[in-house]
Amino acid sequence: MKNQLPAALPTGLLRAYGAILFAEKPWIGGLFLLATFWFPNAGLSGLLAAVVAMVTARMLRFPHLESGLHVYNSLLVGLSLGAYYQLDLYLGVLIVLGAIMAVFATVALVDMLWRLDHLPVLSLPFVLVAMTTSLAAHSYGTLSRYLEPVMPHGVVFHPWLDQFFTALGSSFFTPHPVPGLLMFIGMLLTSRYIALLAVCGFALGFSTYALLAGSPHPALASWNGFNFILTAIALGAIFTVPDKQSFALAMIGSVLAALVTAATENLMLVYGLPVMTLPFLTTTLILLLALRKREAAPSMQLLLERPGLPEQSFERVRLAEARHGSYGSVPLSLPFYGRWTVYQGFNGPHTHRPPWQYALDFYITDQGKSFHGDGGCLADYYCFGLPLTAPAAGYVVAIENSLPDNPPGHVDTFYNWGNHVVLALNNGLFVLLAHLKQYSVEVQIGTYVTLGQTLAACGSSGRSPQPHIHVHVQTTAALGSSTVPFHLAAVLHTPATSHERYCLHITPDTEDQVILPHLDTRLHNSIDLRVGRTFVYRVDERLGASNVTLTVVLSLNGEFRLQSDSGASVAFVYHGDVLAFYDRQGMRDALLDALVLGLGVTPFYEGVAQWQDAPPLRLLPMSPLRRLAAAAYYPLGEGLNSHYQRQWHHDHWQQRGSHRLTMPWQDDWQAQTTVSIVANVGCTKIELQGDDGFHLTAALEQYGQQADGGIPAWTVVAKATRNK
Amino acid sequence: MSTTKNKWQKPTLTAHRMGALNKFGNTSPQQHLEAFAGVALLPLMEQYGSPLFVISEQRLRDNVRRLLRAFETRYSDVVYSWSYKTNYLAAVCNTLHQEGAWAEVVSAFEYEKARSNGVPGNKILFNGPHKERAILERVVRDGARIHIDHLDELYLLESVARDLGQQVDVTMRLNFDTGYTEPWTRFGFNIESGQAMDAARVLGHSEVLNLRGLHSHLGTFVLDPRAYAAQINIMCAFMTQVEMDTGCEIESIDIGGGFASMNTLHGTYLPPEQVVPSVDQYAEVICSTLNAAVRHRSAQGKSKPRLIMESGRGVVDDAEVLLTSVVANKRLPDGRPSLVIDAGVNVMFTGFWYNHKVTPLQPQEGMAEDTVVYGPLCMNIDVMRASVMLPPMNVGDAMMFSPVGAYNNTQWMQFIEYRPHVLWVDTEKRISVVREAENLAIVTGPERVPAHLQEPFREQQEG
Repeated sequence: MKNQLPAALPTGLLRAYGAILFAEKPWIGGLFLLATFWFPNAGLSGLLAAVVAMVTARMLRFPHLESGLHVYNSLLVGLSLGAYYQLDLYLGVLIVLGAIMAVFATVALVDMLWRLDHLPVLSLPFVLVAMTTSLAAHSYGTLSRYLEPVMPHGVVFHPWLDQFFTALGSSFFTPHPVPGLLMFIGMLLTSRYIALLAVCGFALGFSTYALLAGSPHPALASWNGFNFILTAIALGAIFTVPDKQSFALAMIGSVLAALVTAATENLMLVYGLPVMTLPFLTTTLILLLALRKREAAPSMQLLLERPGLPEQSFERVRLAEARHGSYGSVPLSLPFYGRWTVYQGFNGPHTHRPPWQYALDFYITDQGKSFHGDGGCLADYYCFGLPLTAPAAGYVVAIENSLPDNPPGHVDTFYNWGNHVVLALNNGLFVLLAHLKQYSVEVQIGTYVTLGQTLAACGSSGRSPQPHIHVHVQTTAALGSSTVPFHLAAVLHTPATSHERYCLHITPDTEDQVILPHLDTRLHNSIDLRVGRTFVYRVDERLGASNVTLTVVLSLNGEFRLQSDSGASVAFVYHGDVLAFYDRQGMRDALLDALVLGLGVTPFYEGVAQWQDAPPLRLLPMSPLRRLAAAAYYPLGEGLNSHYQRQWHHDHWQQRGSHRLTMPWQDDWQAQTTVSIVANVGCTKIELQGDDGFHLTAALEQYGQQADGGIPAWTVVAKATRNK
Repeated sequence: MSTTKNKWQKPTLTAHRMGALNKFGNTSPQQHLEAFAGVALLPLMEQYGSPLFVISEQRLRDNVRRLLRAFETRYSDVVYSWSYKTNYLAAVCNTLHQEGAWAEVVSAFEYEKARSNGVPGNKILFNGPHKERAILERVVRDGARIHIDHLDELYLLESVARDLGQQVDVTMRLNFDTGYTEPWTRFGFNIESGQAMDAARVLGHSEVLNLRGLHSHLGTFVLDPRAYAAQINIMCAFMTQVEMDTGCEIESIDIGGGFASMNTLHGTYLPPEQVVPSVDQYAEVICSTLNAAVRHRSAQGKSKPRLIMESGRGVVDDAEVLLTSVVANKRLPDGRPSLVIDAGVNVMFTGFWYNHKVTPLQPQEGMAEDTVVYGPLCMNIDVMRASVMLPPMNVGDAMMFSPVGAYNNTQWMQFIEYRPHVLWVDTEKRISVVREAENLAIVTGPERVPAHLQEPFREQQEG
């Protein structure tokens, strides 16, 4: 750990430079550092403050040094002082003091704002400390004034471009188009979407500012215009998931920031202070604080707990929606065994009306009938008395066990819900199973039940004209409180009008049938991805043949990753009955991309399996030209329309995937994958066939296990498999 | 005065007997049945002759669906495997395979038949005490599941797997005493004596064989579902122990078959409607016991074992009937009436153990009498019913034996008589022949007569 610290210091320093414009990579921070030296006085002052802050934070052992969190506010304080005063011994003292103060202010404010409502601290410590140092500087006769030339003489690029780049440069107190251009390049390399928001936000904010001011002082607009940019980026890309709504929010934010900027200018003028990032902070924090009070909704999702680059947030949310169902919907497993039919779906006409519209009733039918014989007694009904299981883990918080089961056709409207069990889920919501059979409840209040544990038997108590089970998710433990949407996870779903298909998430309609798939343990055990497993593939593609090794590694935060020897990697979860790849990182790697495309999401259930997924478009093999076109049309990325089918093929499983990307004005771009899985060996063959004659074949040469303290390594040469 | 004459009835003698008739007794008035599976039977007999087997596809599908639903709605992972020996007519097997059934076979012949029916290797369970190297090699290559019956088979299979260089997942057949049924100790490894654990340890040390399943079969016509509860508890306890001792992971528990059908074993007093448990009763006991026994497994990171069942009789028995005609009437010396019919134990082998229900196909008049029904064989043992209450019947009258779906089309023999047609009534009530009646060419087809034994009377004829 000690050895890593010296390396962490420069990285932290560079990250601090990058963080001001939301860039994560240290080398982009380096680019910004370089840009600040356009005005060496300011650049040096900033660097001095940053180094002092880094040392302070390290001496006081504040955590997360390498993140640059403690440094960027001090850096801004240094830059702000260097922009107004000549750097000399006296100013140096002031910078050191300011930098130290900013470190404390940052640590304190980070905690305060988080407790307030999970708000980010942004550059608030800088503004407070810079106000302090600037006001104090008024009284220090030792300091010599120095004023950066606000605008260059003459036009550098184009009047409008100059205006924009100068404003961007001003965020580092270097109001000049050239450093501004450098920063814009850094921004473009970080995220095209952020760059887009920067341009749009500035254009809209500046127009508003100019419209209301009539003829504003050009210097003021260029000095303070970065507030529009930062507001647009923070609201539209960093702290919300990018979508149309959050783009609109970003634009509203930049317009409001224009108003706040004018007001702040007038206020600060009284004290002879610069505006700094105050308009940005005021606008952003107030809007975020207000948005926190919205109910969770799929649009404009806030990312205060996990801010990130817009491309990454968008991809994460897109994939989550494709695989886990819509935002805010609670996943449940089936609360029974076998094939059941939906008796009444969401918003059902009989009883599923608000606030109980998100509810499912199930019963069992055979050729459209729910009973055998004449249906005159409860025992004639197929589902009567069948065991019901916990659809999720949780504590039992309420039960009713003693109400009689109604004879067919009768209802008990006094005890509507009949016998029931209410479970408190780990997410703070509650599940209700109702109309249970009299005296069938097997659990007590306070019992912690695991997924699939038997709870009771299906009955016909309460408002139940025939035996069935009612399931919903509700907001409180009180019987019949308002319901929230939920879905069934990992089921075989047979719509009333179509064929059976595996669904990662589904909210079935009335008449649809659902059944839990059977796990194919042999298939499941055949793909062994424990830590340290290595797979050597012989890869043949257009560029030639080579051997590529894939290794399973476990990251520090407990994420399993499959890593190619090119350094590219992809995370995966291998949970019970599903293998799912996500978060592909690093450079292009033909084998890894083909494998991730071919396995994507793989449920290990038996039979002829069919399912859908939406892996990211970057996995599709494309020519550079097409890649550019796709990036232009889908700036935030997009999911492929992937259809998978797997079946047993004499001596191995063959999993075929067909992947399509919809492009405007032309045919879909597509690729086909075929993965052969041999029992007890693994994926022995991966084939990929794409447009433009792209072709890849990879055959497993050998597989093995890396050594680990006391465990010897081993390898097995994979036999050529018979693929008929 | 009415001039109509009463129809003449054969005189009957009914001895007074004590204790035979009470409210539980099998004394319901004899009814006749004209149709089966929605098809009139007498025209069928006119067209296809007598005797005649008739199978209802609808009944077969209903039975297997009912069985699967009963288990699948009570346990998470259930596989039903069709016991070929119960009835391996391809039409029967394929109907059940269409309903999702796997194949349980007990010989090289049955294995080949299942494969020729199109069953993939991984959906075949290969059971039984007789498996030779040649068939084991094929089975291992096809990836079917072998149920090891004895140590010699284990060693043979190990050498086969080694020679083929293949890892083989296997199931072990167990026997033990549940206290409910007579233990079938001749099949599999005995738990109480420690033999089963010894064999499991041998498997644990094997480099090519992996123990993945446990199997046992209690017996046949098990009337008390609690026997299965005892069986499952013993098997699950063994599973826990064997997993702990050998490090294997058991994926499936095969409880065999043995569910009773609506038939009456010799010596049973009550009618089947009163003693045979419903499929739901079996399922309730089996699944609730199994769910309770494996509840702790998910906490240990293990999956619940798959439940495999091989009920044969319970599914097919009442889907098939045997139609036959009266050949002669005889009064026995002890005064009892008897009938000779054209179907005997040669085609209804199960008559040796079961009192099948006998139903006339035409309305019959007259008092029911305790009647003996003989088959057509010239053998003293050919008794179809030693005692059944039947009204007097005339030569040519038709009757139906039911249920006969289990074990008759497999255990029947070509003895003295030709075996008859087996008819199939599909779900649209269309008739087809799924097994042709035998004729001389079929019966003598495989025979090879040495030249000097051919045409023994030729010389005399020529002379």
